[in-house]
Amino acid sequence: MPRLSLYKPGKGADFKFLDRTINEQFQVGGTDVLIHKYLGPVNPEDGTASPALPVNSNGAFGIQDVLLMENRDRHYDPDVYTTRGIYDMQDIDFNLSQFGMFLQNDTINLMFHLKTNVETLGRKIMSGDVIELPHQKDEYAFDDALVALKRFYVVQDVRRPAKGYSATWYPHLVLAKCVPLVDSQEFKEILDADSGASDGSSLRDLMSTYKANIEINNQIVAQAEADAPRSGYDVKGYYIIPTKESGLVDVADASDTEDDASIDKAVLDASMVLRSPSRNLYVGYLTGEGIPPNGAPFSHGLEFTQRPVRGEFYLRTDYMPNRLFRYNGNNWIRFDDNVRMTLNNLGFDDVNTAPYIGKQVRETQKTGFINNNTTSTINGKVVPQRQALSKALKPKADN
Amino acid sequence: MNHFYDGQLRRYLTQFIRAMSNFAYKDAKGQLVQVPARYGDMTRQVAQILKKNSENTLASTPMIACYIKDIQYDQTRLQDPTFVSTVNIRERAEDPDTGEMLYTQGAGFSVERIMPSPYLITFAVDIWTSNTDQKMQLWEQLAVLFNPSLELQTNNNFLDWTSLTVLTLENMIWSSRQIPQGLDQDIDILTMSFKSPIWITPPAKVKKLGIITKIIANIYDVPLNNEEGKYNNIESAYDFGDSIARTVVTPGNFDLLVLDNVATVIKRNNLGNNIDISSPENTVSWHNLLDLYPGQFRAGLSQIRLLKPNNAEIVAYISLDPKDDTRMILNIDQDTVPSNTIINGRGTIDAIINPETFNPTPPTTGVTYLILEDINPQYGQEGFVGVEAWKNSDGSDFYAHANDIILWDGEYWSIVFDSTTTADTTYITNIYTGVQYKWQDGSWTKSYEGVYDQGIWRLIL
Repeated sequence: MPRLSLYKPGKGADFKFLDRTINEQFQVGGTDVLIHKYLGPVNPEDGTASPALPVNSNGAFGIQDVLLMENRDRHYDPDVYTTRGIYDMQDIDFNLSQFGMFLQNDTINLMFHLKTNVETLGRKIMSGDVIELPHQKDEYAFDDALVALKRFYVVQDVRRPAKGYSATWYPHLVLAKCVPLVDSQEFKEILDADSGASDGSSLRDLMSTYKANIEINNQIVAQAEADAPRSGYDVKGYYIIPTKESGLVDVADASDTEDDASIDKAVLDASMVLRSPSRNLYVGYLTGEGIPPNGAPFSHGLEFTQRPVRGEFYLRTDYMPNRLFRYNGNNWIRFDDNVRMTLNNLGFDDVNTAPYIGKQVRETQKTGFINNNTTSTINGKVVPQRQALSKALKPKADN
Repeated sequence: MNHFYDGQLRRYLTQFIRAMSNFAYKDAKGQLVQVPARYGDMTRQVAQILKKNSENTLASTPMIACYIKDIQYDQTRLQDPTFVSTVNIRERAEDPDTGEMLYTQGAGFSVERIMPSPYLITFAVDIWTSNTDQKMQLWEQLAVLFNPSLELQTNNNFLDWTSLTVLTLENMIWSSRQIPQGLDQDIDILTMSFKSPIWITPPAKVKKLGIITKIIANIYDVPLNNEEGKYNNIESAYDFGDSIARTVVTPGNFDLLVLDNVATVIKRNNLGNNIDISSPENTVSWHNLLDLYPGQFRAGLSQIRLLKPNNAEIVAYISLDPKDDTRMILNIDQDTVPSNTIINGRGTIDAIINPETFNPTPPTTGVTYLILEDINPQYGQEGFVGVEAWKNSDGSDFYAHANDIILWDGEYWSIVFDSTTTADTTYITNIYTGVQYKWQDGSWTKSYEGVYDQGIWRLIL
């Protein structure tokens, strides 16, 4: 008679019997768990791979950035796998932080039947897999008219739980320590998926606070823009009395012989009784806008007008910053420079998208190096002016 | 204390969040994702609303949270707390219908600003990222901007001397996590601290633009008779003697000619009253002057004020002659013209007449006339025969001089105002025309007509 032992060097019939029974327990008492299977990191863009950012050939076991040791751009299987899991329900609480509400004590230890899990996924559940608990759907959130909000977790660690061992000394269960999912770069593929609300919205639009945060940010920027649209000070609404040397007001009258009435000059607008001021009185730090005082009309371009009249303004747009000149009867005299600049951190990427379409790109001395889309043609080759200093004029191979 | 709140800290915070806005990270596919920045100290209720009232909503990362960490009074920047700075501003006029700014002058203001209080504010920025590369991307974009500071401007009002400050990067905590991380993976936060010297100001005083349009400098003699007394008398600085000289300075130093309810500015010259105002050299356009005075010219509402000898003023509402901008048309406020001088119980005359062509017979008892010519100038001379029209009821002759005022008492003519002996300024109103006349310097003129020296007329717009 063989010696009695539940342990056997191989997983025998006892194990299989127990395993089937345990699996049955999951089928009977467990809940559905939908798994978004992690496939591996996203490869770098063409031509940008490097030793520290290699092209991945190890599937789910590859490392995207071997310097920082992280997989920040992740591929997920578009198919969703269904299995059964069991976990202990617990009360959770909200923790208010500077970034909003976070769930406290919402780390769940989700147990799966190991063999079933492997059969379902083709591998054991692993860190980075995203799970969805259908029974935790919230049908009564603010957006309940659209679609119920699902509960997402991401697997953080996986281990075999002590209570998942049977008397055969072999494990039947796998335990996944799961934390609530955040809308981050890592899970972009999942959250970019259609929400199912049939309005073109993504899962992120529905599930994440990102959209609300961006809208809040845009409103704050709009308020800041309303308070201070541009750097410096607005003196357009102020009036400067044009004066002669005598101190009297400089009036354009019939005694003037310098103006040529046959020239259609805006400065001779009939509604302008007074001449344009010859100097700016509201001078301060960043007050120049390239706009004449008192709302006097002006023209602009790359060359001064022919046969100008005294008091005429002209904005030279070939100067950087644009420079406003006034004709004093003999010469074009510099009046001011358009030195005011938006205070928004907007680049060319921003002003092509809502809500900043048409806004001014910030181009101060420093930001002019960053927000720079200009190209130069050098030796017949078009070269972008903006280049990382570490890569500028880097030697290239001769072959 | 009256309530006052201008949201100054709020504006600093708004601009600070703006400075932290519009940064992005790039993922492996080359897609840019804007990182939201907002205030970090929200209420639970708003946080729950952002969570859509559901624990299933996902928090998003990366995110930039900005908040005020500390505010301290900055003793080192203390300046004279009682200092008041005044700025004079003229605004452009505004079209009342469209709200559009016009080419012309609008209202003028004097704005008084008292010294604001200096504070040093510390802002903190917490950057929550989900991976190190994100953190490095955001840090690099922010770090290059601070070398060591950025300008922070809360508004673009030229008058607000507190609106501009600098934001200096002071400190950084690279990570809030422990290394190694241990059991729990807390969120990773990069904290950057910024300091900014700010000014908090009480309200300004906005007043009507006060411009000095007339300077009068008087020089007086010292009243003491001997030189020793002048130096010994310590009160001499306050004890004025006779006026020696007087200088009046006004815009352009123009005199004013008032004639036929039209005012014309005239240049000062040595010709006395012999000025040809039709010559452009002697006058100027009112446009040369109007803008130099505070306020905005409003036809029919703006005033010229003419100083009378008794220091009262005649007020005239003015409007510019549309055909000739050297002529200002006057509408005299009759309530401000001088009071009539009571002569023989009344301040009026019934008419101004030329006795050589006017026959008063039969005169009404009590009638008074101002006569422009002599009556019976040969009276008393040999062979004199008086004119029939000016005989008394008993047939005797009456004589009077030009500019006299005469009265018929029912039987005799009498002189009630003798122009040959009266030197005092006298006002009388002709009730036939309603025009008031003034007797001064040996002639009758309309009471407010004539040349006004630069010191005795003024414009109120």
